[in-house]
Amino acid sequence: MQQGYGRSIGRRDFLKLGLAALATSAAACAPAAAPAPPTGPRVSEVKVGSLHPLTGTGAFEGNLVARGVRLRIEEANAAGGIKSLGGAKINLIEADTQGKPEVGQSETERLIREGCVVLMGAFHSAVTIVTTQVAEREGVPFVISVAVSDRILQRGFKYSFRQQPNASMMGRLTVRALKEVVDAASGQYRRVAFIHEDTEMGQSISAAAFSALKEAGFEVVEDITYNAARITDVTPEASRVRAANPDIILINGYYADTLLWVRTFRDLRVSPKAIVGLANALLSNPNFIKEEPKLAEYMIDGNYWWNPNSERARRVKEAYEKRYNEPFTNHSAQGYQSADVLVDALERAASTDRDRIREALAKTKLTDIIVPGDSIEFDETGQNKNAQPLLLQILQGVVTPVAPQKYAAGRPVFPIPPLEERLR
Amino acid sequence: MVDWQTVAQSVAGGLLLGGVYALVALGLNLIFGVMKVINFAHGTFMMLGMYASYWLFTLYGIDPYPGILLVAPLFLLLGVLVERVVVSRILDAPGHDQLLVTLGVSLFLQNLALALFKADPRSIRPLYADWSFSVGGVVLSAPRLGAFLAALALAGLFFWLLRSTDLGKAMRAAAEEREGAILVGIDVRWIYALAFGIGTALVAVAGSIVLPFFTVSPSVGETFLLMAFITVVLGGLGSFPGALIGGLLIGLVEGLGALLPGSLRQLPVFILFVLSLLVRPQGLLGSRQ
Repeated sequence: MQQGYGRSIGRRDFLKLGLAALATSAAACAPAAAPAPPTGPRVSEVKVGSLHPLTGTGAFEGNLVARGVRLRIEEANAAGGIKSLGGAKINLIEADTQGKPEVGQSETERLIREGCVVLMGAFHSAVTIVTTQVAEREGVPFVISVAVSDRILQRGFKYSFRQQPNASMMGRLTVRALKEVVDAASGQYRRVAFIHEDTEMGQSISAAAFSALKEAGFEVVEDITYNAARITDVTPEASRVRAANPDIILINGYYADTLLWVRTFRDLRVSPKAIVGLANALLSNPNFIKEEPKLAEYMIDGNYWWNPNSERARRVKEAYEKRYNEPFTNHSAQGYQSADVLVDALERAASTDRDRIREALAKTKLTDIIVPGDSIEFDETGQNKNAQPLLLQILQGVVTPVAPQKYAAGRPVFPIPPLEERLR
Repeated sequence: MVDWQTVAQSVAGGLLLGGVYALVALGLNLIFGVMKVINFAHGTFMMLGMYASYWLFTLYGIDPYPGILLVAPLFLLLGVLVERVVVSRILDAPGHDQLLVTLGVSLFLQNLALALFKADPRSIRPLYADWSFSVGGVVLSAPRLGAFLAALALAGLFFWLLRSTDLGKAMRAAAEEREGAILVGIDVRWIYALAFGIGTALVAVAGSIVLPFFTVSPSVGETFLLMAFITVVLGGLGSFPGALIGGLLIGLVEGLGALLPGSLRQLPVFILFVLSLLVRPQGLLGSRQ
């Protein structure tokens, strides 16, 4: 025992305190909630809640989505608010989920308590599963900005809507587009190493992609799951991939972890015919091109994107880049488009009644949209039937849609040049 | 299905990373060993060290390695300052109070970083970023090898400091017997501040040397902190060689764990950890209290 000072910390305390602190450390990161201004029954404003990871894991992407949402709401307010409500302004209340389901839950409850009549969010599928559940229970419409898991809308919910492709669409349509590209290049490259992160997003996308790969005649020669939030080194896993010698490496992951993968493949001199992302946060990100221009070139990603042929998308891109002084990305496009769905529904609902808004959302038929697809229309589960991911390739430092043909803005390069040549 | 080359690569990758774990754990262990304070801001200081090196590289083109000469004294000072202003006030407080205070420091600094640098993941690309050496088919990437060697060198320097200098002796004395140290004329307050400063400098430098291959964002510290805690307990609370060996061992086990299917790579680490608690609760090199 420690003598004299009576404040010895044993191993047990060390562990106990340690675990307690790790558990609470980020939970306490939440910015203090702004007190709700008192409101009467008059409709001078419509309170809309926006829930995204603004700190913690996923904060980078979460902020991009949140900025897209904000831009659309600001535009609506600048254009005179919701006209059917006598020009009522939208009061956007932003909350931070920290990427954690339990925080997402309490923040959703808070936003509803503060009088939000419709909510948006929440980027992480695992968080959105919970936030939509709270919204459903309370009867508050929830427009999913980004969150890909199929499961979110498979629970018979009446109040949740999603304009972006779900995981199985993302997996299936990306593999289909990839097959298009591979077939065009003689089609002999069929060996795939599949790497995916292990949260709700990775699990749901990979399940869909697996069956789509099999269907399309690809052979999965290595399958690796990893924890994106904890990983500090992927050398062992990458050497497993190297040993399997795949033609195509398919990666589903977030920014920092995918960067780790791609750099480790470079270090281990793994030179596949293509590295393809599956709803990947790095491989179609302009920031990646800035940080690793040589490594980024020729990378392919199957992801939601804006429609390169849409005039409105071009205008939004310009407005975004002017407003935030940073490149417009697909995350922001999804945020913007989802907020656009919400604004349209509010206009048609002509009410702040949650059920009227839900009705209006369910009847959505938007054609002047910035994302690919002929229109945004929801099926009975609340999923946009026409959602379409694009296959993107970084060509001469620009993220270029290359498939499907209808939305292509450039020709795909496949197989990509060998690593040595790319690094030169 | 797993061939020897993949295993060798996993072992190498794990050991290289273990060096970094060890360096992070050394600082944590120094602060705990001398002051009996669990420093929850430790991972946060690593994150700040990464940002410091990032900005040195981005704004002034100073590579993280020579940058250590700036980062180390800067964080030594920062550590001393934090100790004098905050931590010294809670030295005699119960454990959970200390925890809340260091956690508070951590939250403050993390949110400060978030406000200043945003949540964007940032990384640098030094000249040697894509260099690598092949030893018998095992590829060692230059930034990771560099980090490992630097971590070992720093650990060596630290051991020398502890063993052979008056300051080191005073620190060990203060750690072992505070009252006795005071009686023989050691200014324990000053030693505490220095211990905190040195621990902070060590972890900030750990941040510098991982930057060439790791992406920094305000929450990055947590990724390493958990491993550092396990390392400290596994190696033995207050035992410095224990932290070094524990770090290497955890890296090694994690590297081999990566050969398991699914995302089980850290499972063997925790199994090892639980086993060590059962079989050798004082840690590998810890002494029985």
